[in-house]
Amino acid sequence: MNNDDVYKIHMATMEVLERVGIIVENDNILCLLERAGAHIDKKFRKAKIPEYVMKEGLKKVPSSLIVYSREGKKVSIGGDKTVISSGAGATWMLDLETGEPRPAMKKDSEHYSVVTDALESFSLCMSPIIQDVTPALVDVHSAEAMLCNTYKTPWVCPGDGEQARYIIEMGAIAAGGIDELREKPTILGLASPNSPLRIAPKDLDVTFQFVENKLPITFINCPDNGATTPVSIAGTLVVTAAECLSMVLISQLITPGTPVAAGPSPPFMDMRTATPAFGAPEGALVVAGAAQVMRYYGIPSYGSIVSTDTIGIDAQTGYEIAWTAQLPMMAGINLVNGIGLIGSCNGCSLEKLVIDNEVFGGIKRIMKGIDVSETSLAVDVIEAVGPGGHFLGQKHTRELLTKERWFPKISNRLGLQEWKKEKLDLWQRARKEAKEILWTHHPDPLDDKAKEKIRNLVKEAEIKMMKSSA
Amino acid sequence: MSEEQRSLNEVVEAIDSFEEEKILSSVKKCLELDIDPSEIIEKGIGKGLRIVGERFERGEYFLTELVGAAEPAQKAVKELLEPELKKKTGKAKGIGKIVLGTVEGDIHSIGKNIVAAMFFAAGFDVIDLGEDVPAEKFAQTAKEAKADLVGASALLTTTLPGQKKVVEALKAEGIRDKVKVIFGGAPCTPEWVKEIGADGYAENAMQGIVVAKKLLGIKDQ
Repeated sequence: MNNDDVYKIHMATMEVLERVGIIVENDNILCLLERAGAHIDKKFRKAKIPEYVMKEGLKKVPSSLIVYSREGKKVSIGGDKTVISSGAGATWMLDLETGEPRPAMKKDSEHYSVVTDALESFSLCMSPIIQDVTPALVDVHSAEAMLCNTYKTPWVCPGDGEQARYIIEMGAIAAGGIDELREKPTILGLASPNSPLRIAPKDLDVTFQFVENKLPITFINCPDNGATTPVSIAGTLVVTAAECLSMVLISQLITPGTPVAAGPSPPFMDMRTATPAFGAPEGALVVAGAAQVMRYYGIPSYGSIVSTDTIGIDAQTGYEIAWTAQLPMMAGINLVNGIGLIGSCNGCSLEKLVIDNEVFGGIKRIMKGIDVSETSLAVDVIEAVGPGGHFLGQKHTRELLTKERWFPKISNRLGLQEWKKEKLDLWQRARKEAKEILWTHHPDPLDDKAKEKIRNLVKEAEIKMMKSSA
Repeated sequence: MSEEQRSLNEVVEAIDSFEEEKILSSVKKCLELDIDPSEIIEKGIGKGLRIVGERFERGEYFLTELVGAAEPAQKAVKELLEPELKKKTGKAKGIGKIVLGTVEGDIHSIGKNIVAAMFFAAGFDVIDLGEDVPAEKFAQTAKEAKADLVGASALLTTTLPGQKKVVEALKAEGIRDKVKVIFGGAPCTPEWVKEIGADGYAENAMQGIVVAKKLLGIKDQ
């Protein structure tokens, strides 16, 4: 979109917020909005937000969101860089041995964390939705799995305020205290609106837990194009912006200056099966558009990419990754996930994590572009080699090789005879790599004391849950 | 062709045009001609929806046409025809009656809405309880309405146990053996449905109808 188009999205978004409004299912937060100048319909719990109220609130948003790895490495989300995370939301997993889909277990969440930890393109880690634990505590269990198995920042998505509270406490244990966690956040939160234009109590509770603690949080909507948002891309962007901006505004009203990022995880409802297609090429346009719109508001942008619709791993996986990955990154999206996901975000696979890592290696190389300098123009070397010579032995080649070239890890570049020995396809090579990582890579980000404290906290949550449901 | 027949055909055409106003006014015209409401449902609305459904199955129509026809058609039945039926013989009789909703704690409704529209289009009487529906409400409604089928969806792993509660509530109301229970939703699996003692699992709305018809012994005409 050109700047005029982005401005039109902005104007339409402001009109929707002011005339249509958004349902906010929490009376305290409605009061906050009312005090800020929004018009509240108490009966329908709807807030109509005038443009000046939104603009005033957005002034307080930090231009970047900073989290840290367990080793203290800074991950800055904002500006023109893209930070990449493994993806969440899968309830099943392709078994690494059999290749068959089966329910995702806590052990899988641990493996997912270990493999994410080992792959260089990823800075953040998410978890599948594990099926072998108490359903009401699934996010607490996956937070434990991530905290204990990766140095990378766990990006958590608690289903309710209670789980958010536990997870923040777990994060504080890992960081050595809540103040330490606030100073250098090593977890990142997530809450979602329900399209169209509704923010449910549980998501407001989660928001409140993070924002009250001044911990960074992301606001992600899931605009099911044609079903829960208009079928037009621009209309989907308007609803996305209206929902994300409302949640950002709420965060800034609770605690001004809370670091946030926001954007869409956009499925395109298949109009024959109602399956939410995440690998659709249109999804790339929504995410790229959202990157532009969020930049207009000075909010670090988020988008979900590369979560393909195939069940196994095949050529469709490949082209859906290609469709959805490159454009949003070229549009300057700041934070992405979806990595490792298949089956329309319902499944995940360690092989896919490895493949996505490879894809991002290549994309990052493309994004680096062409370096044009005296050294790279290489007139001296061309002269030294002269017509008919070669460049292989030149110092220039040796010195610039790793700067100019990216080195694939699992892509096939074997000759025919060499390939004939094993005839491995990409999926098989990725599986080999994933297994290799699980054998050799053993991240141990927490000391035993912290691990025990976290384990006890999970037990405490279980006992409390049992008592309350008894 | 008689005027009655022409008017019923207009209802069929109106349904295939997806225009709410056209559908409502064509039904009104039939009522003015004193055509029996159950005949309007059978030979007007039902016929129209069957045509739309067949075109959907052949791939000529998308969900947008199917839902676009079913929702206003359902409105016409609810607002215009059911009140008339109550005055006369009783209730409209579909091929089966289903009570539908999203389980307690879950506010995701789009999948359930599609299921509701498709069941209606397939000739079922649909009682849609909406979203965030307590298990007891499913059971009470099914009992009062003498439903043949109860369907509940859940999108979240955290709300999935709500489906088990629906089965338990039906037992508590003493009607578990009188209704068939089908479930769906992203985290729902055939194994889960078996584990909690329900009757059928459907991955999507189309499958839902196939499963429902099979459970109720309804044969396609």
